[in-house]
Amino acid sequence: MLTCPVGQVHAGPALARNLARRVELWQRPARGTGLTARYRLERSSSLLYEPLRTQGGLVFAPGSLELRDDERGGATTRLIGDALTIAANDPALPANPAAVGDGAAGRRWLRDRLFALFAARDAQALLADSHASVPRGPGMQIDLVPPRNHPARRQIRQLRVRLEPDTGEVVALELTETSGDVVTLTLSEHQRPS
Amino acid sequence: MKLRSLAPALLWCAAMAGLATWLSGQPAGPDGLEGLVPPEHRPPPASLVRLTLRGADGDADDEQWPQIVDSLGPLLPGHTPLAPPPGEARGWLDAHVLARIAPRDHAALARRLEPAALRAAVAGVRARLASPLFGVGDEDPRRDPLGLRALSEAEPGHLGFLTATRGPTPAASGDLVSADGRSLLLYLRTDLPADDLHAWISAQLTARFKVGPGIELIVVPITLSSGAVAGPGMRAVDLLAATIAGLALALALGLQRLRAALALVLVVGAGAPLVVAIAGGMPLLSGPLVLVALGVAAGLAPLVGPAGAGAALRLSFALLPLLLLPYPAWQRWAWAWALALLGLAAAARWLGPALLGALAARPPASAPPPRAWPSAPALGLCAALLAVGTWSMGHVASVRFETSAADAVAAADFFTPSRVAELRSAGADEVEALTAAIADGARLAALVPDAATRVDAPGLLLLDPAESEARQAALAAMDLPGRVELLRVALTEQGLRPDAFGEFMRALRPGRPPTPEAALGGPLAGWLTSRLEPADFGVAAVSRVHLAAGLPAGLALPAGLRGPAVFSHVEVGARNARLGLVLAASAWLSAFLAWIGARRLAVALAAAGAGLAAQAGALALAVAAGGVGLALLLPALLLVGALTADLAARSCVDVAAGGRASPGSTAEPTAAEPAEDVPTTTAIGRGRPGVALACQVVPGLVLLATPEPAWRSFGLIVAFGGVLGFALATRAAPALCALLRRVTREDRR
Repeated sequence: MLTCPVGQVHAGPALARNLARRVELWQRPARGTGLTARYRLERSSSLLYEPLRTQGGLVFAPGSLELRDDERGGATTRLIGDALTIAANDPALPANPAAVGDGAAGRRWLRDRLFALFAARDAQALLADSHASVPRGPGMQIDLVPPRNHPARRQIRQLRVRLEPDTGEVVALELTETSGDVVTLTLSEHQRPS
Repeated sequence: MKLRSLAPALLWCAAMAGLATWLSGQPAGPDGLEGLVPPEHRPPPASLVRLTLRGADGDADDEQWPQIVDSLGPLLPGHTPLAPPPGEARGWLDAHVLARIAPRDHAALARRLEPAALRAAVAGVRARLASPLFGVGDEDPRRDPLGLRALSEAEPGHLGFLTATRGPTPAASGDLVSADGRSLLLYLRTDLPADDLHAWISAQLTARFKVGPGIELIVVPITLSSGAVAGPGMRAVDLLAATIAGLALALALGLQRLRAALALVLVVGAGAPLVVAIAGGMPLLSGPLVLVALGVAAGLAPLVGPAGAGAALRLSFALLPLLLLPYPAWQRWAWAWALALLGLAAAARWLGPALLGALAARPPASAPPPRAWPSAPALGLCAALLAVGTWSMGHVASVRFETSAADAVAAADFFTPSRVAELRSAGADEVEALTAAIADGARLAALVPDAATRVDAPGLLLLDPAESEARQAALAAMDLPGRVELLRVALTEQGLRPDAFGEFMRALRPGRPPTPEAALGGPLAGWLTSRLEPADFGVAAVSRVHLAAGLPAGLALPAGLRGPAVFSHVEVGARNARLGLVLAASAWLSAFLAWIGARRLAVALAAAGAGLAAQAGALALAVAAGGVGLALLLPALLLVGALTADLAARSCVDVAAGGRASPGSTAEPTAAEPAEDVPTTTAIGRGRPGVALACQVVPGLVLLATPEPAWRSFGLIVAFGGVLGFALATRAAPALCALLRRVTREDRR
C-alpha cells in the first residue's frame, strides 16, 4: 500500500503519481455545485444478526447532505453544517434518545470528507487531516484515514472511496468504524445540475 | 572629632553593613502577590505539565504518543487526575442508570418500559441504524437503546470533561488530551520545583518511552500573580541606592547644608538593611514600603522633623487599620511598618546629633513658613476632594488574582487554572466524607452553566445511602426482570442481537446502588482515592468547580468554596466596604492621635479631615491613572492620610492654643518668633515640613521610575498625595481648625 503523509498530495514520486491520477479523475465531474444520486446501503454490525440493507436517494448541495431511505422502516439523514440529524421515516417511532455518545470529532472529520468528496473540487479539503493512500488492486480507489492521534480515530478507522474510472464520480464509499461496523454506500444514477 | 561620641554611629553602620552582607546571601523570596490572599484561598503547591506532540505524523514520537498519554501520569510524583477515568466513569453511570433517575421521574420511566413504548424504541434504533452516519452520531444504542438517560442528568455538572464535544477529553489516566489530540495536560500536586520535575519527566520520557525531541515539555508551577504586574524589573539595591541618593539631594537642597544632609542620610540610609530584613526582602508588596519607610524616617530626622519622639510614634501607627482587612501581608506590615519606622527614627534621633556634631554641620537657616488660607476656600477644597474621592470609590479596580503562567499554558486548549475552586467535604472516614460530598456536589452543580462551566466532584457520581434505598424500593414495583425479557424479545424481532446490549440489560436488574461504600469497592476507587485528603478530624473529599469568567457581582457562591477566583469574586463585592472601613479607621486613628497630642477636639477633627481629604485626592488620582487594583495601594493611601494628619495637627497647634489663628498667619515659628511661642502644653511640635515632604516625595519618584505598574501607582499616590497633603495640612487645616474651634466653642474654654 502506498501512503501519503497527512494533507500532502505530493510526498513521493510513486505516490504522487498514483494519488494525483486519482485526484485528477475525482475532480473531473466538477461542473455543477450539487449532486443527486441513488444509493444502496449495507451495514455489517455486531448489533445485527444479518447485515442491514436499504436503498434511497442522496441529495448534496454545498454545506448540506441528505440521504433518505425509500422504506418506511428506514431513516432520513441530514447533515447541515455542523448539525447531524437522523430520524426514522416512520413518524410513529420515537425520536433520538438522549445523546450519550461522543461522536463529535468523528462527525466533523467525516462531514469534511463527504462534503469535499461530493463537491469534487478542492483536493486540499479532501486530503486535509488525513492519511491518503492508494490501496493495491483493481479499481480507482483512495483510502482516507484520520491521523494516528486524531480524536476522530475514536469513531472512524478508515474511509475508502471508489471512483468511476471514466467519469470520476464517487461510486462507492466504505466506512470502517472503530466499533467494527462496516458501512458500504454504493452510488448510481449520478446527476449534477449545472 | 570626638571618636567616643561617634562610636554608636559607627557601631550602627557596622552592624547594618553586616546585616546587608547576610541579606545578600539569602535567596530571593516569592513574587509576593500570594501575600494578599488568605492561605485557604491560595492554590495548593502544584504544577501543571503540558506535553505537546511536535513531530510529524508517523515518526517514532508519534507512535509512542498514545502510550505516553495513558501511562505517563501515574509514573510522576503527586499525580492527580484532572478528570475521572472515562471508561470507568461511563461504566459506572451506565450501570446505575436507573438509580440515577429521580423519584419524580419514575412515572415517565414506567411509561418508557411499557411494552408498546419499548417495542417502538427498539424499532427506532433499527431504523436509525440504516443511516450511514449512525456511528458518528451522539447515540450509543449499546449503552442506552431505550433513551433512559433523558430521564436523569446525563452529564452531571459537565462532569470532568466526560461529555465535552469540542474541548479536551480525559485519557485513561484521568489526564486531559486537547481537542486536536496532540497535547496532554497533567496536574502534579507536589511542591517539587519545576526544574526538578522537568528533569524527572524528561528522564521518564527518554527511559520508558524512548521519545526524542518531537515532544515539547513545559512544566509550570501554579502560583498566583497578577495580570497587571510585570515585576519590579530593577534590583533592590539599585532602588535603595536611588532612594538614598534622592534623599541626600532633597536634604541638601532643603537644609542648604551639605554636611548636615550627608550626616542624616548616612544614619537613615545605613538603616536600609534593617527595613529590608523586617520586610523579608523587597518583593512586589514590600518593596515600595521599604523605600517609603526610608523617606518618612528621613523626614523625622533631627533638623527636619519635629522635636521629640511623638511624631515617630504617631506615624508608626499609620498602617494599623490594615489589621481590619483580610490581607495577610498587609496585616504583617501593620506591625512591620511600626517596627521599621521606630527603628529608623530612633537611630536618626540618637545617632544623628553625634554625627552632625562630628561633621561640624551648621544648623540650617529658617525657611519662611507657609501661609494659611481663609476658611471658605479651605473648606471648599476639602469638600471637593471628599466628593471626588467618594465618586472614585465606585470606580477603583480590584486586584485580579490569577495563576498567569499556568493560565498561559492551559487556558487555550484545556481550562483556566485561575478559575478552579475547591470545596472540601469533611467526614470521620472516607465513606462519611464522600457522603458529605454528595450534597456539596449538588450545590456546585447548581452553578452550571451560569456561574460555572464544569464540576468535577465525586459526589455527582454517588447517591446518599438513604436515598438509594428509597429509589430501589420504588423501582422494585416496576417488574424490571419482566421488562428485560420483553426487551430481549423486541430486539430479536428487529434483527438485533440481545447479547450486544448485555451491559444495558444488566443495568436494568436491581443491583448494588451507587453509594459511597459501593464506589470505594468498585472501578472508580482509584479516582475517588485521589480526591480524598487527610483533614483535621478525619478525611475530606475534594470537589472541584471551574467557575465562569465574569461572575455576577451579587452572586453568592457556596460556603466553603475556596480558590483565587472565589477570593477575587469576594474582593469585587467587598471592595467599597473595605475601602470605606480602612479609611474610616485611618481617620479615627489620626483624630485620636492628634487629640492625644494636642488635647484639642478642633485639632483632632481638622487633622483627620485634612488626612481624609488628601486620601480622597490621592484615590481619585489613582483611579484616573487606572489599572492597578486597590488592594495593592491601600498602604500608600494610609500613609498619605497619616502624614497629612500629623502635619496638620502640628500646623493647628497654634490655632488651638489661641495664637496665630487668623487666616494669612504663619503656622510655624520664624527666626524672629522663637520656639517659645509654641505652646509647651502640647506634645505636638513642629519641624521643617517642606523638607520632610521632599523626603517623602523622593521614594515616590523612584517608584514612578520603575516599570512595575503597581509600584508606579504606589509612587504616584505617595508623591502626589504627599504634595496635596502638605498643602492641605499647612494651608487648609489651620483655617479648618479655627472654624471648628468657633463651631465647637472650644476657644471660649
